[in-house]
Amino acid sequence: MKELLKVRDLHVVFETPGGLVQANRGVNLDVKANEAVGIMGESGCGKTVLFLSLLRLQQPGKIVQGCVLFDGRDLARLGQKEMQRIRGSQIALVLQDHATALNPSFTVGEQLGEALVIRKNGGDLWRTVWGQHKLDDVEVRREIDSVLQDLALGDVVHVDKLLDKYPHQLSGGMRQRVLIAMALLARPRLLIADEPTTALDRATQMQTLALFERLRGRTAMLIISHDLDAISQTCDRVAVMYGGSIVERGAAAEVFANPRHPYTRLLLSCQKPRRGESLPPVSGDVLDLIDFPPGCSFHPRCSQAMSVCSQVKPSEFEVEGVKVACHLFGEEGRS
Amino acid sequence: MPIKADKMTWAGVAILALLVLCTILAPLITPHDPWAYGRQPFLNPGRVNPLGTNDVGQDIFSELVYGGRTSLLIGFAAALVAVTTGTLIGLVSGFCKGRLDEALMGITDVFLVIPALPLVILVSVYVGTSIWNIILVIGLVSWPSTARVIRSQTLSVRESGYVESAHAMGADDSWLMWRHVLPNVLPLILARFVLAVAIAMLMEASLSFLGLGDPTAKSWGMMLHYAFARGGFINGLWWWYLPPGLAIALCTLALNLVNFGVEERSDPRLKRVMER
Amino acid sequence: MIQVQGLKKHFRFRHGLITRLRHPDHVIKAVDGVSFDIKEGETLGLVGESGCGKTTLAKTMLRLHLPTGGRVLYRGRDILSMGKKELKALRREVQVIFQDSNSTLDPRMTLGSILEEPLRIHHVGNRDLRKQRVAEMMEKVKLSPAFLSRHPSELSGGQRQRISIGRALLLEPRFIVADEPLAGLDPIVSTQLLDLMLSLKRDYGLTYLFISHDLDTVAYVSDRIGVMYRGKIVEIMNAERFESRARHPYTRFLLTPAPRASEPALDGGVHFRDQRSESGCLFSKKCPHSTQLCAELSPPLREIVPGHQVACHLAD
Repeated sequence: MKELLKVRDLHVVFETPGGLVQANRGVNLDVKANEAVGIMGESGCGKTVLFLSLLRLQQPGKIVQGCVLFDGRDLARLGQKEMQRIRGSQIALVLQDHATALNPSFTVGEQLGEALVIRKNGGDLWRTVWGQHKLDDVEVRREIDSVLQDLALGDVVHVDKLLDKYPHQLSGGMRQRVLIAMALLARPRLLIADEPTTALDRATQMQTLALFERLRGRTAMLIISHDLDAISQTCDRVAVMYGGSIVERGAAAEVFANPRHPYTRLLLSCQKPRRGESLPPVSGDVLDLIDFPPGCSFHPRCSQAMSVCSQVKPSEFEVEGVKVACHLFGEEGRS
Repeated sequence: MPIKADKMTWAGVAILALLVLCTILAPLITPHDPWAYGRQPFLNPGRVNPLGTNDVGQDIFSELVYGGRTSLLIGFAAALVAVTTGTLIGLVSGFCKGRLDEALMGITDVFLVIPALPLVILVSVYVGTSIWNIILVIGLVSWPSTARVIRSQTLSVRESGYVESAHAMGADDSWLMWRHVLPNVLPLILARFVLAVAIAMLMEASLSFLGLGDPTAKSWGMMLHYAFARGGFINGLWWWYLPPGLAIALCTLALNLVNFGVEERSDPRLKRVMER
Repeated sequence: MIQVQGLKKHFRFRHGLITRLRHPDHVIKAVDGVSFDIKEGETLGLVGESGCGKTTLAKTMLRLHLPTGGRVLYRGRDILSMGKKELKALRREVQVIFQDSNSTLDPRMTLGSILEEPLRIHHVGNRDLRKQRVAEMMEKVKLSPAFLSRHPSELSGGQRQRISIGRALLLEPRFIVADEPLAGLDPIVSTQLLDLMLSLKRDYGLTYLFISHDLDTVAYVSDRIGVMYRGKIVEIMNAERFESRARHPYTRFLLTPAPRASEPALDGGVHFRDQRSESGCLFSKKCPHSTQLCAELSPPLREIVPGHQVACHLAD
């Protein structure tokens, strides 16, 4: 499979009164067409900035280094107008907050229609109003039906009724599904979902994950979450993020079965505590992205830190198909 | 953005301080007693009278400075009356809720609906036009909006998690009010106060302009009134009507700048250093 | 130590006259006849999805809401009949840790004063003693004393929650109600906090009511678990072997691991929109095993095995 998205050495910074926040420090990421990649990490690791940067929505942050190759084009270097054509139509975003992402004054049908028309016209107001892609209602309805069919929402919900409802009349889970449908309307090459299950209760989580599973293999997906279940169920590969960079990435099944990076192991061990066992010992607090320790950003909290860890930032070492940014798997570790 | 707000605030404070200082130091900076009937009326600005004289020969510049005292006094005092009343009612209403709240807000709404200036005119015609009456009347008319706003804020603070936590810890109502509700409503009160001063000054100016001001006190509004009534406008004697008008405008501007800054700085959440 | 008997909390809506005539029964029965005990020293976990009434239950239990019916006994004394003084003493012994640390800490206060507050409300000691106790507590919750002069907004969610926990413990209470203390926190931070709460429980000899929608955490931390659904407790049992021994269909639903796409999922969560009086078991409409009896008669909470109560007709 060809690589659809290649992020190389991405550095994104924010200038704040308190100092320079390095939200992304040399991020490398690959997403092939039609595969689902999960980005796993806690709050403050930079994952939100990462996906926003892909769409060049990271302001006031600045991309100071690196490239974002989407289908061969470097998105980091494109102009705003060109980015506009990519946003929504080639790369679509599903945000976390389903409550406020929909306009309360318009019905679902109207908003889906709007999404479709905007995207077909590359986000250009003039073309939307007067342009060649002015779609009529029948066409809009057809597209909507087709997307909803893909999401298998046809059986769960009566499409006519859904389209006439206002956002506040829907449950959280339903709204989330509408947002996903909106994102899919323009048949994007890449779908980015930010914490799609975090704000939902269990049953709705299950439904949303089921939706993503249906999309697997048809669209490239980037799913950002700190929920292990969500990622293990929907993603082919996973990238674990800490302190602004990716510490481990590889096939999801492999990474979850054999976590290699100490942070990954810590993260996984904290997911489901087993009764009768003591909790994994955790030291230190989350990195604040301004003051980085020298060398590996995780070493102050790492139980297996070596002397080199406090001096040199580890590069990615390949171990059985998984790329790990840890000295334990580099020269010093193996000796 | 926070830096810009600071500059604006300080600019406003500076202007205000300057104006207040001038009015306090009135005897020192004015060449004449504003009440003294000078030599000639309708003099152009000159060496003796920097801004000329009015229709009865009084020095306009001295009038301006002394008038500032009255205008500012009425502004601050009326604002004090309005905000104090409004705050008390708003706090009680928002804190106690229930029937008391409904009753108080009913009264507030009645006053809110009545147009301010006509009410002020009406009342001042009845009670007379001394300074204190004017202060009371303007205060009476301005408190409802403050009450509503304060009540809103009080309600939201009252429902917040930290008040609930304090309650769960055993705090009684007076503790909650004093230690949690008030500190969180205070910034709003300050912001309202600053705004109220501006509104009160404008109202006083309007009143005086219409001739309902206190004839025994000089204020900027009164100056405008006489300028208009005694032929200042018609004869193009801009040094008579422009200075008080500008003074009012300047004062209002300064107050608004300060208000802007107070609102911005009142939120401790803006002290955040880290960008998440 | 705590006995809840038939506790009810109904919220009535105040509508205009005409609406009231058309819909006379618009009531939300957030807590509808809940009974359970909490023994001294144990941790009772309360599990349920959002909207099931667990937060309302916690608040009503502590008289932060006035109950519509039922009793709550704290060490034999009825909380509802307590006078002002007794109630204040109660508030010393019973503390709450709420969910959203962002809103439970006064944003205008420094962390030092936030921690001191419970001591001041109950007039404990003088200034120096209080400062000392606060400093000791900071150490216990593993936060640097430098934070004392800062404001809540300058801390991360995990750190704020530690302050909440510290604040609850300053009065050396006997019973703590923790309402979703780990909600919205990352797994690693969550684990740290859980560890803290457990060690503090040991050090202070506390009794906990641990409320959460996350079954895994509750199963780990509790001695007994209660499951709540739409205002009623549908099951209470020992946490030991909870996964295998739970009987109520709703509990079993909660226990299913993240499903495959092919499985039919129950329509999510709890909606209080249709609150016209429903007869029969509230779960019957969604239960895969429901019978005619289930739709007609609401099953009472019954003990099927010593220590294990279930509200289901089919539990036997």
